[in-house]
Amino acid sequence: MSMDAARFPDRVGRTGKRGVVAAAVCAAALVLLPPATASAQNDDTPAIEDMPGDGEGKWIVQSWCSACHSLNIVKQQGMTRHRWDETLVWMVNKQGMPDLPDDARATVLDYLAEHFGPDHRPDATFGQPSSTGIGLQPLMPPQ
Amino acid sequence: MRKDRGLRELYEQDPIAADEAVFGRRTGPDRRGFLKGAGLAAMGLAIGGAIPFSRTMPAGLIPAALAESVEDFVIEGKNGLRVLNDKPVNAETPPHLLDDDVTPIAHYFIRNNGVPPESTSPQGWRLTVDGEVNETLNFAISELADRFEVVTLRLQHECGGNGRAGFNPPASGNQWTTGAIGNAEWTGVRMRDVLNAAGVKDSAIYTAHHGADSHLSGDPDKVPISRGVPIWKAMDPHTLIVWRMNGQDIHPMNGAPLRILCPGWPGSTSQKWLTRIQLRDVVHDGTKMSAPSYSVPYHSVQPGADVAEADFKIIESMPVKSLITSPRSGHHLPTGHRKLRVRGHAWSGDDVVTKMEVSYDFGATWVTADLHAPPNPYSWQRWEAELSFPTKGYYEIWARATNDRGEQQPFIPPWNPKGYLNNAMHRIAVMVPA
Ligand code: HEC
Repeated sequence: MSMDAARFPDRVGRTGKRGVVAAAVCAAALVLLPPATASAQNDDTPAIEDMPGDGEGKWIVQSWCSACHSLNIVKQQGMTRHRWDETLVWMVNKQGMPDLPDDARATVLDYLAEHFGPDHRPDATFGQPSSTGIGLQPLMPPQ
Repeated sequence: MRKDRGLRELYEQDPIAADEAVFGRRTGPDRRGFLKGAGLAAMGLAIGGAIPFSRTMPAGLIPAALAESVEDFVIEGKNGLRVLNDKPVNAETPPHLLDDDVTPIAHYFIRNNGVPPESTSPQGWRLTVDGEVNETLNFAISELADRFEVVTLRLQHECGGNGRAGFNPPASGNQWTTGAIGNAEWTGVRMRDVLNAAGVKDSAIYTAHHGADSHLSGDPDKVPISRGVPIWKAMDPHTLIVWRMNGQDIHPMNGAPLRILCPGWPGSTSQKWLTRIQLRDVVHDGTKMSAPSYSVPYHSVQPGADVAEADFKIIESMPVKSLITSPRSGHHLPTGHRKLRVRGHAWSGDDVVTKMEVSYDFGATWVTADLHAPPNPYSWQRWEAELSFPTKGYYEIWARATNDRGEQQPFIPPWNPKGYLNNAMHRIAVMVPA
């Protein structure tokens, strides 16, 4: 569920398995979640696995960068470390993100540049559409 | 922060203390209660770590990391959209769902910058007109309808970043392909009539639009988006303040109960959840008015180049463009069939499309399509053509529009840092089996 979902309870929602998971965890947020919260972990495609890599960088990005928007905006990008750096500056100067401590900032930039560099063909979680219909990409998956 | 301990470790041990150590701030009393109630720690367990940054996370919300997938995301009253992001909601329309002359509400794209207002009921909604006017005015929606001529127009309305996914190197932002465009039938009043009622001062050169959505961070002092247009565009009789979409209430995600529809310009000039139009004696400097937002370099630049802020200009009219809306890409003709009718729409910002062509031989030759006049200025225009394929094989259909200034859709539009104005020719694939 998203912030919009909370504000538009009858307009935005989720269906299917993950919807159930979200609801369970949502309730737990107000009560108490049993440790090991298997529901999130045991789901076929646990959302948390959607982010590539591991380590401190991944952890910070997952928790920090999902505070205002979902990580889908992060996962859609493919940028050099330099552009990621500029994006973080913009996030701090214009969007009110508290600056990360220096070492954490470097860790985050390393993570983002490694997993969401310019070679990462951006898309949402569906995987790349067979074609954007614009530009030079093949229209059908090459055989 | 102490260097010998990682951020994660700090937060795992004590999120409240960590928050204080890292940001030098104390968690507010309301938040503190929430944290103590184990909500945060419990959620932290679920995502494999505690949640820093709880200040901006409204109580009771699960972190987005727990609900990342957009595949099963449903928006009531919408269907068939490709969801790019669930928070804020951003979703585009596949080309084949844009085949109607009037885009159905269910298929109309969504571009949100922040959190929509809690209530989108027209009851009690007010619009203020102020700034460089003789008299500040304030209207209920029903008063707008009573006082000014009510008009209904079909208007093309496209996000400035439509096509961003086609740029290389990739440009940052939502990766729209071709679907951040719609052409609905909008009902409302002319912005010009409303501004004239307030009395436009000579000093007014630009509008500033304000909406009721709130910033993603939850900070009430921050504004998700506030853009405007030069006064001449605001005074154009096709720039409307609207409350009906296709004869129905506007969808909440499309700006109900009141929005601007400033056709032919980046969608962001058509403020949603409209509460105030302010006239200004300077170019508006609201959120997302300054470069690089909704701006492109004055001169074309090498792909990937850094561009100085002073070298950007604000986007005005959108470029000439078209879409093939039928058939759907990947279409297979039945065996023995060699003929195919193709159709779509063409539009061109402030201008009119005067020629539409399609090619099935990778641009070597072009067939002129039938192009309809727009039902009213600023509507997109229907085009259609019949093609005969000479042999069996894999074909691509390419479409290109030309406007009354002689501007034509390019193969590859100029790269720009934020990936705006991609009006490359649209292509679809067709298989002719025999
Ligand atoms: C304080 C709130 C906040 C936090 C925390 C935050 N962001 Fe953002 N971010 C925003 C807002 C607001 C936008 C603009 C959304 C829009 O207009 O669609 C944005 C947009 C973005 C974009 C799109 C940029 C573009 O060019 O449009 C990226 C990429 C991004 N954020 C990455 C991150 C990363 C990575 C982090 C963690 C290091 C992060 N954000 C943390 C508020 C935040």
